Amino acid sequence: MSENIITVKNLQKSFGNVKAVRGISFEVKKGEVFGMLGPNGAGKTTTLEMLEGLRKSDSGDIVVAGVNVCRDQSKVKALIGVQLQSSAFFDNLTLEELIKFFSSLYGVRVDAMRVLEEVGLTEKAKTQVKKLSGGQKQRFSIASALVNRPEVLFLDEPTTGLDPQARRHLWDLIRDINGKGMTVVITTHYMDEAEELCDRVAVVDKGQIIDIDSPANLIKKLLGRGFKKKKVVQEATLEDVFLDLTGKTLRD
Amino acid sequence: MMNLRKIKKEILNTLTIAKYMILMFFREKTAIFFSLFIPVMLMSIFGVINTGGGVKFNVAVVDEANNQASQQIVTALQKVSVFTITTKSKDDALADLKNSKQTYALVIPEGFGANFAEYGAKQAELAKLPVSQQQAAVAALTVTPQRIDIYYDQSQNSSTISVGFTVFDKIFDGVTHQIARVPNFFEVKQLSISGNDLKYIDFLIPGLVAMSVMQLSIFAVTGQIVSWRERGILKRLLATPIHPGVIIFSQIVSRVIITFMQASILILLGILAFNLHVVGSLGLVVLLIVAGGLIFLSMGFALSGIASTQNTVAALANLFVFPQMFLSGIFFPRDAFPDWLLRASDYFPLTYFSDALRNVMVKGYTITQISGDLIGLAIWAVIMFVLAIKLFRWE
Repeated sequence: MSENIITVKNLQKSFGNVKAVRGISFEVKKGEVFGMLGPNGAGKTTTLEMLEGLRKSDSGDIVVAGVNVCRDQSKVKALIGVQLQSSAFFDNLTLEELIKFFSSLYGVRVDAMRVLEEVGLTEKAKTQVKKLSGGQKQRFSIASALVNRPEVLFLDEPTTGLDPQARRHLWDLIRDINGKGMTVVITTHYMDEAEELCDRVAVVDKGQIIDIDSPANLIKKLLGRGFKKKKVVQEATLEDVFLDLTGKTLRD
Repeated sequence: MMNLRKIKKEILNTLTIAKYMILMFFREKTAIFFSLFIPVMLMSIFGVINTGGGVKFNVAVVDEANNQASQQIVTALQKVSVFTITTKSKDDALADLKNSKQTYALVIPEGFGANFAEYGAKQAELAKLPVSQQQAAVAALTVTPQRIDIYYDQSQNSSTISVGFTVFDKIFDGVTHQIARVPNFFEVKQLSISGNDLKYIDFLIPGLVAMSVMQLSIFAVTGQIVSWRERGILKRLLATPIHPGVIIFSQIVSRVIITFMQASILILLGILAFNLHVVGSLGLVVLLIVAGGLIFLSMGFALSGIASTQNTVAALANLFVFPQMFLSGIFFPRDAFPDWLLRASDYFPLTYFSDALRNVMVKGYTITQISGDLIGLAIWAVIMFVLAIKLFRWE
């Protein structure tokens, strides 16, 4: 069994009277894609931000890549890559310039074109972010998170608002990055996305983890509880039809 | 050693970040417009209105005599710098006067200059008298004065009109002296002292520079920081290991550099196009611009902490900028203000800043002479800095 790269113990966070995170504990193994599923307001983003050193926890322990995040916020930031929900970047700078800018924020030197190549945006090197499509913006956002060769990549709802082609393209990219050995933590509303990408998922609701397991095991458990789908499962979904009719080629 | 390397790295980082922030500024067309075009436009408008400088009279000359004597008068008039002389017929001249195209119409009637000959004849006789009698004869020497009619535009300010007449008197006196061969007993030398009678453009440009520093610092910081915060860009920056202070510091460095470029362009333009006289210490000018820049940048950071959207921050910024623009003596001296307003506006940061800048630039004041303004600026700097630290927020 591989070692844990993230260990979270009894994490708590309140905003005023609202308890956003109430005692979350989990581990992420090195090299896996770990998903956090849950409805809006479940506490996914808050948890992620505490792991990323962006928000202080009220109590609990977080260790990411060997660093105690509660004690050493800035040190962990150098070891992780972060894609936030809003993928806005500065206006008036090209992608290439932004990558150079971010590398100086991380205090590293990188070949900006190579980073852009990793996410398939070399052709857009001289373009500004505001002129990119939604999928390109998300890919660029991931590129900006890769400049410091992070050990863990955090992705907060990376495919929200993308068309099916762009989503599939982004999944390929995430699998690709993960295939090179990078641990990925991802939040999403889309169950197909979690099934497709994640080795294990945590189901979060009302600030607590309800269950953690691989998607297959979670399904098995549900069936074991005697669950039956009301309708007969179709051989194909409407999305399959859509992709068959419009093709899988990326549109942006 | 380790620390030294770390410090060097932080400085390099700051400069790189500042470089990209400057780059962003130069690609923002509206920012360029507001920080350069507007002050240059104001300078041009006010400069052109006022560089004409002082009084100028249009004088129509109607030379009906057209002889040597009348030519002598016309030549003397043409040498007067405040007169623009045109020769016309009498009807045209009077018509022009009615249309206010001319301020004066000077009519030299036919037969003008007969007394010149009369005087010459008398003088020749005088010369024949014995020396002992000459003095008494000179005293008794009289000639019939010749008439010159001067029409003037009554719609003009009467004191302005009388200035013109004083000049005419002086010209005729001069011509009389020439004819009578009386030597000049006085020689007037014009010496100008840079006192309170600065040219308007000298008054205006330092104020415009100060105003531009204020606007650039406040608007650029408030607009940018709030928009970055709204769009989650600040949060993305905070997710990097860079110390938040470095981001603020590089923002300040880039702004100060941009402010310097702007101020240099405005001052250079003032010197080249509007004959601005910069006599003071350049070092002191630089110090003042840095001080002013820091005060208004801090103000910008404080304001962007109070407001959460771009619209509110713009409104708040205007609340601070507009009263100062008009009440800090940028476009006109504050002398005409009622007493209470004068005393209140004494304490505005822009008043300290523009007064000090003006006094150094065009009057050559030294650091001790502007110490009062410097103390005022220092107090404002402390207040703004504390406010900025207390109010600024990343989220």
